[in-house]
Amino acid sequence: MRDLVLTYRQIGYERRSFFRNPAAAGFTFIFPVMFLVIFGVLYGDQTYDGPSGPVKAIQYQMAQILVFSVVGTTFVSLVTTLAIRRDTGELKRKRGTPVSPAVILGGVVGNGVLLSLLMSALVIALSLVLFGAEIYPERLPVLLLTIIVGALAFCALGATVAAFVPNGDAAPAFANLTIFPLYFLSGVFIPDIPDTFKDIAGLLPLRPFLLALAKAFDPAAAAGPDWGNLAVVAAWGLVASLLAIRYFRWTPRR
Amino acid sequence: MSPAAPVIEVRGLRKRFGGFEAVRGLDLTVERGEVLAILGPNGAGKTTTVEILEGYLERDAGEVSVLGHDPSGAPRALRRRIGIVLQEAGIDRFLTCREVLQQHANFYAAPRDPDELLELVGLTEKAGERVKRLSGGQQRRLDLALGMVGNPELIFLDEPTTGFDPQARRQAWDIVSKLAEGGTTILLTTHYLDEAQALADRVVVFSAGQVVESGTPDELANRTGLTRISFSLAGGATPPNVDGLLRDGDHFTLQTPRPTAVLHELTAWAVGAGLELGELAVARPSLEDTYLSLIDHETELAAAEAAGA
Repeated sequence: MRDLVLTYRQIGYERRSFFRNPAAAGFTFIFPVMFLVIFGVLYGDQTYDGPSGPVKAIQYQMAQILVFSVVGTTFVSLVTTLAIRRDTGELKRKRGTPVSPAVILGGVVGNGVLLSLLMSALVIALSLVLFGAEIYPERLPVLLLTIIVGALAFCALGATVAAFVPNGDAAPAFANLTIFPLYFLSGVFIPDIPDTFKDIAGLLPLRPFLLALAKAFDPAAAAGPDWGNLAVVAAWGLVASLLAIRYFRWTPRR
Repeated sequence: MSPAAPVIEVRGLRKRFGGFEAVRGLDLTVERGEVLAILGPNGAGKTTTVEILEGYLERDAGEVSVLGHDPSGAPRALRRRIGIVLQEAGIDRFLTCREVLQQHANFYAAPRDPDELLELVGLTEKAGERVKRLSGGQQRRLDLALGMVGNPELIFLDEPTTGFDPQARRQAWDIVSKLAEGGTTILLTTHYLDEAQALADRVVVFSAGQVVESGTPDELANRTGLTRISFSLAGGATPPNVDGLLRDGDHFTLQTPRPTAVLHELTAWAVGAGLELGELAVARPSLEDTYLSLIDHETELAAAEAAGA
């Protein structure tokens, strides 16, 4: 119980710290918005044939940008933040106090999930206003669930990769090197990918997350959650959590 | 644990990093309420030993007890009772001083009041300032406050004043002295002999992973038993031939175990010759003399060992 209160407070400190760093916060928010605008302007008016008539491309693009937003505020953010804090000794200092490691990581993860939700709301709102996207109110709980499961899983994956980053300077390279191949393989930037890619990417965490989100925006899809794809995302999150617990380091390499 | 039991007890401690044995069979005892300073050159094993005591590093061999706990794996029960001021430790730079202190206070069951601590370390005016706007010295004082916020029985200070200007060093010493008066046991590593002299009840000198000397600062200072006498003579006068007298232009120095006799001889000669001994100074033996002679001796031994091997 006490640890829950502490985690809640830690999330508060993380949030404050994040928003007081305008350069970092701005970049986190502007990047996905920029992609949304570029994609929307280039392809937003195009339509593809759904089972019950033409569907605007923005419906799928929303899912693409949401994946990009969530991964940015969770995975990329955790890899760099944790590696840099390990380098500066901030993690080492906290490890010397009686606080539970779960509280410290919980603060970072909680902040990542909250930022993901905030980013998602922004992206969806802009899609509605700028590009005439449609959302279905009865599916909002499913959308919320999907974003939270994805955000948690990509936090866990970020903590795992951070465990293997040698130092803070190398962190952005590690984050990009692991996530960009996944973006392309999963059809996040270019939806038209070969079937082989789809098969492989379907077993990795990113594409199932994309598909589960896309389903929530697809007018022709059934209303319920995409349990199959969500299960794949959750499974990756679980495995990553175990790896992170096993390999996470609090002190810099000597 | 009885109140008389030592706060820290180390027997036969060993730690190896690859091919380098940083700590080689080290013994150490720290009594309750004591301020112990560990002196030693870089690579003597100071930080390695302290990090084993703090629970950051695992030892290879030896027995270690800190407040009755084995620090291996940094048990939470131990972390509740100690405070650690690391040589280098980052802080969230976008939080304010008070926020950081409050955040760490939250981690303890009975913490000290953050505002009271800010006052103690002289940062009251900076309470609402973000950490990134503090000077290096101010950040170090915040480090000290963070080490104290859990109201620890034992506090580790790893080179707490490195890089301080003289005034900031005095302030830090005052803080540590107040802490010691309150009964906190303090384990301090330092490069500065004056710091050890000012703060420590007892000094141990590390060299090559072992304790080579131990005692109160005065005991150690007197260990060479030599008093330093220095003076200058104008006009190229030549003083009587006293054992060990070194000449550098008009300046003369010597170290002697018989300062009274030597001074008598020199002053009698000067008065007789109608000369004045300029800049005459008689300095009691310093910790520095002992320390440097110890370290030189150890370095020679190591060199001889290396040459023999």
